[in-house]
Amino acid sequence: MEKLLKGLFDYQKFNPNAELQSVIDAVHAKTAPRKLSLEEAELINAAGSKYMPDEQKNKKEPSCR
Amino acid sequence: MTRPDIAEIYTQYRGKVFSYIRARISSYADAEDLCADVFEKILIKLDTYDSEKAALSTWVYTITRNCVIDFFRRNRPQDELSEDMPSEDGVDEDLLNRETLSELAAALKLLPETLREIIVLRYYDGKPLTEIAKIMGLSYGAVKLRHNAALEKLHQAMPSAQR
Repeated sequence: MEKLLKGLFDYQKFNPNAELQSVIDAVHAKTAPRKLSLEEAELINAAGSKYMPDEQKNKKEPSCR
Repeated sequence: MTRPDIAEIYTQYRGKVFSYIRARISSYADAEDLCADVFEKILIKLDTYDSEKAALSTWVYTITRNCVIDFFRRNRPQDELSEDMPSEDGVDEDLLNRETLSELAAALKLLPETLREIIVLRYYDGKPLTEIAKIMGLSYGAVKLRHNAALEKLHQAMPSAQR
């Protein structure tokens, strides 16, 4: 069965059958990674980068003495 | 039996052959070279084509697929073939046709959605079950069980699978 499925899906990539393609497209539409909304993207931007620029890394904290 | 003309085959299939190769080989130049190899093979083998044994599209597809497999063997012998790449001793040529693809589409529609998704991700996209588990937010064990159930149901629903 696995060999048959691999063969048929590979042939589908060469000579697509519209009926099968619509099944595949529906699965991809459901399982593809979701795009971030503008609001979510802004939240991530606001959080900034997790990496600290070198000049900041090398800056020493003022001593309490 | 009328032999198809190489110029007609080229016009009709060049796009399909190149797209199939390009989807698997990232280098445009390598894909073009391989596409030329495919049509050279077609030209050499044209006298052996028998329209009673296979449709022209299936015959061209088989030559293309085997050229891609040879390319990977020649250039990357250390690498495993891609998961979605069928083996050379693949499916009977007489099963590779539009009717069997429609049969598969109908059988997939009978499956519960989760099982259908596992089959498409595994066999169309060539994803391993571990990755499918992540995509679907399920454990590996749950995906493996569902995968086996899906294969069993498809086997029952597809007359071609019982040949």
